[in-house]
Amino acid sequence: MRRFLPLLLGVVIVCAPALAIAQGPGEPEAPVDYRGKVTLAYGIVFGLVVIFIVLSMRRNAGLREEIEFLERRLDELEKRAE
Amino acid sequence: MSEVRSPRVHPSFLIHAAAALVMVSALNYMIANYVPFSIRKIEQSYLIFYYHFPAALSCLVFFTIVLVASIAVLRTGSPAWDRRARAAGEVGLLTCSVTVATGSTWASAAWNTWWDWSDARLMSAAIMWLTYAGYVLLQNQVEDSLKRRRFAAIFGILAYINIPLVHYAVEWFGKSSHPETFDDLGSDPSISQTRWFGVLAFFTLYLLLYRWRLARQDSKERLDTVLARVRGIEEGDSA
Repeated sequence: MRRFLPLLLGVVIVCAPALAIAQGPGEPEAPVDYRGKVTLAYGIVFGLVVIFIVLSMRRNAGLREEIEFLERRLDELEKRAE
Repeated sequence: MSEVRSPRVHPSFLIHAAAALVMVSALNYMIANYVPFSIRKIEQSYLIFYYHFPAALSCLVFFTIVLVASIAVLRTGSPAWDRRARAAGEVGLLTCSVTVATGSTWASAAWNTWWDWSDARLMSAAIMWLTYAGYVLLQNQVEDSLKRRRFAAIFGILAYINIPLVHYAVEWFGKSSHPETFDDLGSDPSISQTRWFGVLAFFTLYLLLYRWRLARQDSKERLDTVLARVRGIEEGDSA
C-alpha cells in the first residue's frame, strides 16, 4: 500500500483545483472570474506531479543499474559454484 | 557498488513527460481564455467537465487494458502481461477516482447534491471504483506470485463486466440526472475543441503515470528475483 500512496496523493492533488471551481447554486454575489488563478494553481500542481514522476524514474533507473550489477555478480558466483 | 554512475532516464520518457506538461498547461490556458466562462442552466460549474470527461474516458481505456492483459496472462502466464494489467489497474483506479470526485463536485454545484443514490450512472461508477479498488488490493496483498497472477487475471476479466453497465447506464435504466452525452453543453466550437484536446492532454499524462508504474513494478520484480537467488546461494552454502 505504501507504493500506492503517491497515487492516492495524486487524486487529492488533481481534484483540489476542481473543488476550487465548484460553487453552490444561489450564491448571492456575481460570479468572479477565478480561472486565471485556477490555471496558475493547476500549472504548479501538474508541474510538481511531472517533476515527481521524472525524479522517481531517475531513482528507478539508478535501482535498475544496481540490480543489473547484482545480477552479473550472482551469475559469476553461480558459475564459480558449479 | 561505487562504480554506479549517475542514472539516466530514457529520453523517450523525458519527451513524454515534457509533452504531458505542455499539453495539460495548454489545456488550462484554453479553459481560462478560450472557452465560454459560463453556459446556460449550470453556469460556470460546467468548467469541471474539462477535467471530468477526460478522466472518465481514460478510466475506460485503462480498464480495457486490464481486461486484455488479464486474458493474455491466463493464456500465456507471462509476468510482463501481469505487470501491464497491474499498472493499468492502478492508473485506471486513479482516473476513476478523479472521475467520481470531479463528478460529485460538479453535482454539488449543478444539482445541489453531492450524490444521487437513485442515479444508475453514478451508482454503477461507484461499483466500478470499488471493484477496481479490490483488484488493486488483491494485486498488492497476495504473496505467492503465481497464485496472485492467476487470481488477479480472473478478477480483472470479471470486473470488466461492469464497464458496459457504466457506459450504457443512462440508456438502459432510463431516467438519470447524469446526461447520456455531453453534446448539449453548447454550440460554441471552442467547447468541443477544448473537450477533445483535454482528452488528448490528460491521456498523455495518465499514460506517463502508466509507464512510471510499469517501470517501478519491473524493477521490483527483478529485485525480488535477485533476492531469491541470493537466498538460494546462502541456503546452498549453509547446507
